[in-house]
Amino acid sequence: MRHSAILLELERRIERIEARPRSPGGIVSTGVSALDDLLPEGGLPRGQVVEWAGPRSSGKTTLLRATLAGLRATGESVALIDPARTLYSPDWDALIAGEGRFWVIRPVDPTEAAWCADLILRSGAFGAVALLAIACGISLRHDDDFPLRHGVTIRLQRLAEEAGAVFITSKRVPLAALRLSFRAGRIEPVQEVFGPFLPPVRPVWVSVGKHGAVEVPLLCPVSPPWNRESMRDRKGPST
Amino acid sequence: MKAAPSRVATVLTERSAEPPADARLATALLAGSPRVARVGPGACRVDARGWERCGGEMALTRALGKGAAEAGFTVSGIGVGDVAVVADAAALLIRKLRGREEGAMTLPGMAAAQDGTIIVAPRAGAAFLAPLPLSFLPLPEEMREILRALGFRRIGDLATRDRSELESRFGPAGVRAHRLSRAEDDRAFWPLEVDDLPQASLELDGPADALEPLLFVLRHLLHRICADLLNLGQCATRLSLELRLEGRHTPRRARILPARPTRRENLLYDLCRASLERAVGREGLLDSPVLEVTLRVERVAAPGTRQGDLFTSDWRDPMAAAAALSRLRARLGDDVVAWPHPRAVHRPEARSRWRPVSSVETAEEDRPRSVHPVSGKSVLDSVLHLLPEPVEVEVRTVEGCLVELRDSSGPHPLIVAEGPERISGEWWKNPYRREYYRACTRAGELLWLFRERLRWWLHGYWD
Repeated sequence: MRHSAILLELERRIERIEARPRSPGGIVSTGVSALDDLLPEGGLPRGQVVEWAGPRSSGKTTLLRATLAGLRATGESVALIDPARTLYSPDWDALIAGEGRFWVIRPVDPTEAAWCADLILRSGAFGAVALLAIACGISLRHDDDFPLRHGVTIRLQRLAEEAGAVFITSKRVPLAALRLSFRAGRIEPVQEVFGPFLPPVRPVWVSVGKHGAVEVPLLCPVSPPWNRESMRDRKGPST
Repeated sequence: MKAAPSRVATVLTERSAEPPADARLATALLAGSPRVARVGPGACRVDARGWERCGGEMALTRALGKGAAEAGFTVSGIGVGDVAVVADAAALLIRKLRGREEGAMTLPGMAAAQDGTIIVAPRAGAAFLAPLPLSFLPLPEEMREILRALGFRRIGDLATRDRSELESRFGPAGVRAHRLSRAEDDRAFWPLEVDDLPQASLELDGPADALEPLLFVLRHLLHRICADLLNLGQCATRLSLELRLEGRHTPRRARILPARPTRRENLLYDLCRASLERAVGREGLLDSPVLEVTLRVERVAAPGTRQGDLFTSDWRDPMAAAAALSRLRARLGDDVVAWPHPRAVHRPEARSRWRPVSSVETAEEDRPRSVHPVSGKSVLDSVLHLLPEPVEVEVRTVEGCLVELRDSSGPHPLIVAEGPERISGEWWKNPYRREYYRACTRAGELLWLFRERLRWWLHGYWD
């Protein structure tokens, strides 16, 4: 092939690349097929801010973990910002193994969380960035401190778009492209001779705007947390 | 397999600071040989074959010296030998002895020594190396120290030992060292051993207590350092930033730790800047005026970056991730980027441990085995949030059953509470004895409570 022909071919290929959207794949699976089916695009849209709203125990952190794990399985890096520093590390141990990489950002000052998200999204090296709300107050009713400010949301939205990453936050977002609302379903205690017990499975409901809602079953916490499957090969206490 | 050249010449010049200068040197040396490789700052290695009918190797070295001089370089030593390790040793030797006894010097196997050149006779490399000190061999520093401690002083001491002894002690590195000591070197164009790492310093025109002049100097120093790293073909994994302060004997030092080996000037500048910003007070001034700034590379590593693919749009640059994580650590502290690292202890808050990630590379190597898949399950495990400090609450019980929890927001009826699960321990330092309950409020909140010394605490919740 002559040089001019090679250059022409190269120019054509570069034009095709430039015309292609930056985001790879377009969507990110939540790891729950029923929820993916409910979402308008069949998953979480890349390049967008996704609000992951719900009170405590509504399953949002559990679903978030499944989403991040699924993304990691495809070889992408994910970052999870935990300004409240409340994540229980044994629950996240399994996310370290796999193709992609998983980083947890734990700023001492929670007000730095948005800056952390900005920096990570700006690098363009992560497929997903998740920012958890601060939930360490005494009150059981309030799971968030304050929403992301309008300007911050726009800034993070633009960065997510440039990076082709999905930005998930459990803080309230004024202009979220997609809002997933989580709600704990009714737990029916199992009546035994020695009193009521937690059922093996608890339902949570995830609704996606006007598209409806889907029920996702989650395992109830087993007794006690130090006997989790993830720690079964380690020495646990005798109770 | 392609055979290695049977004669190699190493040309050392006074060290240059800029990468284009080394490129000019390599171009200039093409006057003597068509095969030239840059192997370090101001150092090149050339194929020395083919001059038999044109005046021999001495004519080659003269041509090389002339070419380098015409390009504006001062040659500090040229060595010629069968293999690279011999040529390097000859060039380093002539540089060390320059201006002293080079004319009168005789070593076994040496065919000629004049005009800043040592030519080692064919097949005499091992004999030439034998009386030289071990520092002339490119060995890992740790191995060199051990060998010195074991009484090895000369290369010949190493060459006479049995190879299996070195293999059993040092593994493959021992075998390689033994081969080199016997002038068995099948790679002609590998880099020279780096004996001094890049550093740069600048004395300020006057004492400076503000950040701006220091940043200006820092940019200049980093430019030089990164150029040196580029010449070496290495990346920095650790740097030290030293400020000499007015009226103080001890300089202030800070360590710069990028998350991944790098020679990106902007990234290193950001990390150094963050370090300086931590040193300034609220008024933006340092506590003592700075007289001199020194930047020193303390550790280097080979660049480990993956080649990007222009035609794959989903390729993500791992260096960009490393840069972002480095900036986070530089500004917010070393433990801000963490990995889950649970401990096998009973106390929940001690069990939930996070390990600071110091290096992206290290983290990748230390990556634990897969424990169990998180996704792909039909029903997902609930995830626990553990409060940084347990929050005291009031719990009302009826006949030993938990029926209501009360906190600052009011009462919360409990529909079920499983427990107790008792743990106790650490009687020798910080004893605890707790009874844990998993409780569910009417609103559907799954809480983790414990009772200790008749007081109730909320320790976490499942989400």
